[in-house]
Formats: sequence, structure tokens, C-alpha cells
Amino acid sequence: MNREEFLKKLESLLSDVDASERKEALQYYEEYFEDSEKAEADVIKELGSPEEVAHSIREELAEKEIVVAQSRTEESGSGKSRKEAETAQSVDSGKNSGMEPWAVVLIVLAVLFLGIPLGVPLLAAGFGLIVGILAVLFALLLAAAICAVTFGFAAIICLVVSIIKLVTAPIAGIILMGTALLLMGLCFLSALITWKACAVVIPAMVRGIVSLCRLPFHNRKGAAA
Amino acid sequence: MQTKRYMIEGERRIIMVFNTGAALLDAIVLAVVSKEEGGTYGYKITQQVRQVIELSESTLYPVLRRLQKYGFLEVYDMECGGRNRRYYKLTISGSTQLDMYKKEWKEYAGKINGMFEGGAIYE
Repeated sequence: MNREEFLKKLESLLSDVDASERKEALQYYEEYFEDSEKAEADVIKELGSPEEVAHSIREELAEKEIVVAQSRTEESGSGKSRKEAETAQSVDSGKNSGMEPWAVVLIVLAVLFLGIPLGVPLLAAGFGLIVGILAVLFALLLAAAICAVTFGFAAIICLVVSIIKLVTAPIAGIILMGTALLLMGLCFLSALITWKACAVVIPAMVRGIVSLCRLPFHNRKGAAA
Repeated sequence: MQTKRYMIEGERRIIMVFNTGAALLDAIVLAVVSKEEGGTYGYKITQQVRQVIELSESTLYPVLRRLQKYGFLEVYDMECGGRNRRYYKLTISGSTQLDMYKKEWKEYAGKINGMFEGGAIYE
């Protein structure tokens, strides 16, 4: 094979690549022959077969995307003749396993389509449940407070009546006084429960509500980051 | 392909122990081109790169083309001996890139040297 044959073969092997790229490559190798002081046959031997030369050009063209200069080492992962690069920079070889952009779009769409009918009712249900639990806790607290007040009133009334009764009907008076004391005890118990609950449950509830309200904003921040 | 290359070149040259990655090859090519103020041409670049690393002749063209696409090299044609010759020259971003490579290499080589020499002390 001589120089003419080599270049002709190379041209035909590159017939399907971009005309300007083909012209560029052929010009390069033509000049290469011109500049080499060696015999044509030796230059051809050094260059390898036209198939190999065409392969190296094609491979370079396959890497279409212009990668940012700093992350250029990434491309060592693609291309057979750069196997040496792959082994030398094994850290980089995994980088090409990233998802295709269309796959990402597909996943996002799937999440949106499945997420809206499923996610919104679930979210609403969860919110409703939390509000319900809070309401029950608050109601219990209110009930305890009302109990304390009512028992207190009842105890005072009972006490007053029992003192009066003690004079007219001592036995009934003593029974009433016992009832009054019982009511007093219930009043104190309710008051104690209310007091403890207020000290513990209300701050917890407030904190819970606040963090619940913050949750969507936190999420949004997380998604944006 | 690689083994074949070694077979061809093994006849007249010692086989390199360490492989040259794409980034290092880019850095060497940029360094070779930067040595010539007025630019240099493909054949000469190939020969100069081959003085330091094992490289098949057909590897260089894709590298030059790539560096050109990245905007690190620019080309111009000049009349030489009655024919046209394509010259390669470093662009400003090419020389910035070369500086980056030099700095990175210094750090890398320093670490490796430190490891090698440090290892000898502890043994």
C-alpha cells in the first residue's frame, strides 16, 4: 500500500462522516506524509491501518458534547482506544454511568402523574389526622379544666349546705360534708391534671403545629438545594 | 489494538510501564505546542510527544482536533516549501488550561514522590 492508496482508503472509510471533518483529517494525514522524512511505507507502518486511523477519528467525533474543560477527564471512560486512560484513572470510569436526560424527565413526569392523585389525598389525610388528634387532646384538656371548675363549685355549695344542715340535721349534714370533701378532692385532681396538661401538652402542641406548618417550606428548600 | 501497538513499537523502544491518561496526553500536547512561539505542525508535535511517552502516530490527530474544539488550540495555514502547512498555536484559554495542568501535575507528582520516598523511611 502506498500513500495514495492509504489516503483513498481512509477517505472511503470516512465517507459517512461530516465532509468538513473528513477534509480536515485527510489534510492532516496528507501533510503528515509530506513532513515525514521517512519512506512512505514506514510512515504507513507507523500510522497503522487506514481502518485504525479512521476508527480513532470516528471515536473522537462520537464524543459530540463539549465537556467543560475541567471535567474533561470524564470522557476517558468512553472509547476503546482510551482503555489505558480508564485504568490509569479508574476513579473517573464510573462517571459515565449517570442517567440520560430523557430518563430523568420520564421519572419526573411519572412522579407527577402518580404523585398528584396519590400524594395529595394522602397528604390531606395525614393533615386531617394530625388536626384531629390535636383537637381531641385540646378537648380533653378543656374537659379536665371544666371538671375542675364544676367540682370546685359543687364542693363549695355542698360545704355551705352541709354547715347549715349540721345544725338542723346533723347526720345529713355529715354526709353532705363528706360529699363536699369528695368533690373537693375531685376538683383538686382535675385541677392538677389540667395544670400538668397545660404545662406539658400545650407547649408540645404549639411546637408540633409550628413544625407542621414549616414542613412544606423545609421540603421546598430541600428540593431546591 | 493496544497490544498490537506494543508489538510494533516494542521492536525499537522500551514499553512504558505507566499508562498515559487522556488528561495527561492533553497536557503534554499543550506543553509541546506552547514551546513554539509561532506555532507548530502535526508531524513535529507527534515526534516531540513521542520523545516522552509511548504514542501511536494515529493517536495525535484526534487529540489535536479535540483540543481545537475545546478552544485550547487554534490553527492557521502557512506556505512552506511550496505547499500549505497547518500550524497549531495555543489560545489564551489553552495556556490557562496548561497552567492548570502544570499545577495539578506538580501536586500529583509531589504526592507520589512523597509516598515513594516516605515509604522508604518507614521500612
